[in-house]
Amino acid sequence: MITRRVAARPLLGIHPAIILAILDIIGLLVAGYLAVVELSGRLPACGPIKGCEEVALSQYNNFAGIPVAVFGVLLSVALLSLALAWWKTDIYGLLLGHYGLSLIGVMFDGYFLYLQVFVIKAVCIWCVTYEVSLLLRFLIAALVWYRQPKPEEPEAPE
Amino acid sequence: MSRDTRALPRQDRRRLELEQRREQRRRPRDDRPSSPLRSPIVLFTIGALAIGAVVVGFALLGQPRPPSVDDLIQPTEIVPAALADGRTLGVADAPVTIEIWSDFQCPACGDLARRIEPPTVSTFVVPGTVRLVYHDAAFQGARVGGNYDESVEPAAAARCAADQGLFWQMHNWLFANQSGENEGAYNAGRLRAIATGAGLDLATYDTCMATGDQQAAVGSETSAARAASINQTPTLIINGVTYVGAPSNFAEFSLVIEQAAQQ
Repeated sequence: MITRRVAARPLLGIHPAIILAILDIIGLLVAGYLAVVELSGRLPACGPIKGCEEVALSQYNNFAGIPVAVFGVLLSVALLSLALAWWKTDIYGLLLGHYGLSLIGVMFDGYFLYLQVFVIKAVCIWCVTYEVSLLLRFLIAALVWYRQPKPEEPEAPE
Repeated sequence: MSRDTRALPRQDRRRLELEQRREQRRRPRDDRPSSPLRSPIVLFTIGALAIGAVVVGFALLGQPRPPSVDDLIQPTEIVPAALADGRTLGVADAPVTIEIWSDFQCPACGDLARRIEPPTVSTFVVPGTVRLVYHDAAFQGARVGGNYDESVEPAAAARCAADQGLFWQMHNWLFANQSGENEGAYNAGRLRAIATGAGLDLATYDTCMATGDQQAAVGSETSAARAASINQTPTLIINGVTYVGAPSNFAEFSLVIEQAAQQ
């Protein structure tokens, strides 16, 4: 059933995959910036807001020796691929894949936000931007699924 | 739908059972009572929650412990506490004054502090020949930019220690635990652990660090260093004569001190 094609119901007048893809690109840019800066041994620019440097310097900013931002890049690339593939094919399972993968990301980001607030005691604005974009991607994917005709159901009239 | 086949002859019964099975197979799947647990969205949600829990579980298992004193190197030098006064060490009327312009992140400053300073203290400071005066030239952290400067923060921490009469203990703990530049060796958590090791009252230390006053003072003294053309660390000013870099060995440094003492 998840391999069936179901025409997407437009959201804000466009294919909802485009909205997801835009948010995926925003997340990719944020995570990409953090990953490049941290892998090159520099600190992210925070402007007048403090916190990015302390989070970047923290030992919790690495997972298995790799900066967390690198995982953010990989997740955003995977999500963007799913959104674009769904846009082009309308295969129902790709929407569910985007929903499920973004839910996994939201869980990890919740844990990382907990670390920032309660353990590192500094909040990185770049990380929060990524976390908000990921939460939006998850919520939009859930909303789109809710509005979307299911493969076994006849499509609701517009 | 199904008929009782027990009364039929064996062959007929077998044929009927086969027909019933075929009919069952032909029935659309939707005729079966559907369970909400079989819905793809439920399966994807359960799957994602399970994978997410595994990922977070691995992250929790691999989570490093907060820095503690046990993870740090304890300096072996003993500070002659009676001779310490803020950031100076030694009697006020010592014939030789050595001003040390230093950065807690600079490796050569660490070398000076670990290799040259301890015999200097025991040989010249304790007998009253030399007075050491520490100054901040917090240059290294500025190279990466940002609001958290790993040269300024340990220098501020050392000034907070000075407020508690423990500057030289903090100085020794900081240099003993120097590790790389701008790589988190002096992140806020590790600085607290170092402060604990040096014997500081942590509540007072936290308040001192939070005000930002000591960080500003470090910045001012660093600017003063640049204004005085001190662009390299460590820079030593011995009775007004400037020496750039750490001495190569204590014997050579002893000669410089003895010459200064005789003049």
